[in-house]
Amino acid sequence: MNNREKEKKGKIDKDKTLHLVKPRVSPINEVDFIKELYDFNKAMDHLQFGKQESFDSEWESEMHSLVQWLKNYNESMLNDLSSFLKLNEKGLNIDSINFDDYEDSIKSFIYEKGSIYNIRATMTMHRRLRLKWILMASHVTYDSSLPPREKEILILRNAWLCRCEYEWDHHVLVGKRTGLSNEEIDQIKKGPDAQGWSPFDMTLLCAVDELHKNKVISNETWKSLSERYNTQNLMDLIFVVGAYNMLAMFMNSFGLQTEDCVKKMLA
Amino acid sequence: MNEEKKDDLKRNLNRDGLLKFNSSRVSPLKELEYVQGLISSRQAVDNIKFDEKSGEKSEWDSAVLSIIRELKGGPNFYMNPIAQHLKLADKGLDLNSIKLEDFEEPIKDFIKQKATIFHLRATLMRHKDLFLRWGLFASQVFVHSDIPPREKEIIILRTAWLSQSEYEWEHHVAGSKRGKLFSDDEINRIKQGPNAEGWDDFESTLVLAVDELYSKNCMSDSTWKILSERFNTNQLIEILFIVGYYNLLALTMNTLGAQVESMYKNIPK
Repeated sequence: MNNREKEKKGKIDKDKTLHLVKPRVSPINEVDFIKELYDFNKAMDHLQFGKQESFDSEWESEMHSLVQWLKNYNESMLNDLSSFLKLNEKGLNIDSINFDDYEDSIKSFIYEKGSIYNIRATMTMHRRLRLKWILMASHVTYDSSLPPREKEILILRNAWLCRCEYEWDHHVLVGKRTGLSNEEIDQIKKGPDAQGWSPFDMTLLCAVDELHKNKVISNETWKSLSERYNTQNLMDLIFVVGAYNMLAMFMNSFGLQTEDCVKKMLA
Repeated sequence: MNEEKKDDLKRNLNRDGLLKFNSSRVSPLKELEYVQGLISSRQAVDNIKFDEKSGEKSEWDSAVLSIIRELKGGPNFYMNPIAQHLKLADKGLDLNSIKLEDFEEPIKDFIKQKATIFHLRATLMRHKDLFLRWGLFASQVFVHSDIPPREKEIIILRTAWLSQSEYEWEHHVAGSKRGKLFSDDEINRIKQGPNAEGWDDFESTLVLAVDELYSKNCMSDSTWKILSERFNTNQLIEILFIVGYYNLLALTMNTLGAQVESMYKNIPK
């Protein structure tokens, strides 16, 4: 019996997700990571979009949202750090401190709040790729035209087929926030043939399985998807599966470890 | 739908050929709409300002600058040859000032003969936000990669072959021929895989890496070890993103049924 057949019978458990016991390349350390966030944010301060409203074309408004995305990207994490370090109360701010002096507090901050620390602190070693990945991810993950619950079904099924523990663990949390129940998440492991899926959810799972197995969506599945999804939705569906497959190759091969704070949230 | 196409779409992967489609599921934009998209997206970039004199420069500053340059340069790269074909400069005109409808025939003519990856770009342009952000990521993988061209094309072609993407395969075979990267024998060898006769150890490992990612979504310890003897961390990150990206593109082109442009069909294999 091959893995796929075993999986259909529900015999492969989460323990069997592919998992290297330690990373092949360690992420950069916590203080250096915060310095990267800070430098990134400073660079974005130098970036402006001329118009804030009444755009002449859709291209202008897309370009505006791309610029805003970059400017906001690390802002909230730095604000969180600032409150964690209680800088305000001490009459300080993030620009006036030397991060090296706060090593222990930064480590506890990352330990408690750094839920996607390992992927960010690994990928940031390659700054230009990191920056462009952020843009691509901003579309696929955040500005995607797909309804969030449906998008998470696609991502989780992909993570499962890729045996990617890091992706799976993180998206179990996201999936729950979008309304997936524990039972549904469990059924995603079994795939489209599991009991209880609505016809459309089942079609979504079929689409992921076909993309993995055949590298193309079949006519039948395409037809069912097109009854509900428009062209943009359909493109976003293919991109979300492809992009998370790409990430899974990276996460698996680098041996990214699920962060302790994420494990705590899953428990 | 004819039976042959149905079979094509339904059949499982085999290594004998590439998935072929007789028609697309999502058609590309019409030629004039595509050119209008290039012009409008280029104009939109002029609203982006970057304060270059802003004190100390970090590497993030240069990364942002390179994005802005690409947003400007990308449309130009595709627009300039059109303007030349229409001989606009001779007439004291440019693409921004003309009415595209007046040049419909010569524009169509240009796109048929020379427009680079038109079907891919004009299909994805149906989704503007995706098009912009995809384009920037694609250039990182394809243009600005730290991996030497021959090694990179081995990875791309093997990925295209395993994903059975006719579109990706034909374009990258043509590109490798222009760049004189491979002999015909070597291109055949890429189809055969890591155990084919004639690879040196490193190139055979590169092909094997793609095969492992393709079947297990992870590189084995022994492959990782051999690759990291020659490649640094940035290059290792890139290998994964090249395979992942060209797989993504293959899924897209296969599923949308993008047709290989007729000008690529005349290139001898």
